[in-house]
Amino acid sequence: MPTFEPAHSLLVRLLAVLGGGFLGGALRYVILADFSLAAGTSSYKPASLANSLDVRLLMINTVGVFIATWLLLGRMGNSSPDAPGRLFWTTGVLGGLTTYSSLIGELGAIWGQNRGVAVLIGALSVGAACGAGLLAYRIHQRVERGS
Amino acid sequence: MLAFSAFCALGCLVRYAAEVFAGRAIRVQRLWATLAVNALGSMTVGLASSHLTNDPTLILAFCGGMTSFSAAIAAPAHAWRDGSRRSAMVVLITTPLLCISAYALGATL
Repeated sequence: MPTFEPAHSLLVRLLAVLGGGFLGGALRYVILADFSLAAGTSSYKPASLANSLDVRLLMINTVGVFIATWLLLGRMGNSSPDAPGRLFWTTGVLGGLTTYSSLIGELGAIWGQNRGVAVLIGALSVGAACGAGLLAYRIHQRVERGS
Repeated sequence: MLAFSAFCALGCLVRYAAEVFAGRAIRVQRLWATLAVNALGSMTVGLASSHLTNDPTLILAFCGGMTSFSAAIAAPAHAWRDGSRRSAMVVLITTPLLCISAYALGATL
């Protein structure tokens, strides 16, 4: 396991995580919130209370996994885990955008109504994310071989 | 939206603190810390789902920042490439199982 000595100050690293997390959270809110333009209001409808599959959550998790895997297998993955750029994009933005807890909450709510559907959605979500990660891995290998 | 984003950022900070703690204090790979915070966040959502009657938006924001689907897959992929294939497979397989168990535990507490 490679060990890295952080070259950047604690404040810079904390700001990178907080800034990225703030941006990722804002993106998640914008994508998942239900906006009522006529009323000029917006509300974040948590998936766990919606009792149905939120395709938007599935999409942001799957796309987020693809981008994070792509970044970590590239030059960013060779840098220190405490490098501000890596912290901002992977730990912050993508970490704030994607969420495991909301998916699990959604599955928990659906489980109470239809266990088969909950298992199906869980398998679909994890399968799609693993597929996205694998796709990024394979494409990255091809790019590396080609260059 | 500002409060949501701020709570999400705090959740990310907790995840990063756990990863740093795992790497430096107990000397394990960071992906194990990701696994632990994903389980903890799922348990918190489970607790909120069964005990909280108020609007859970900010809890979901915080737990959403603390847990990360992208790290749960990308970190094992990175570890796999670096040769830690056993750890990568274990984390990849146990994360959904552990998170579901943690949610169920939180909901029944």
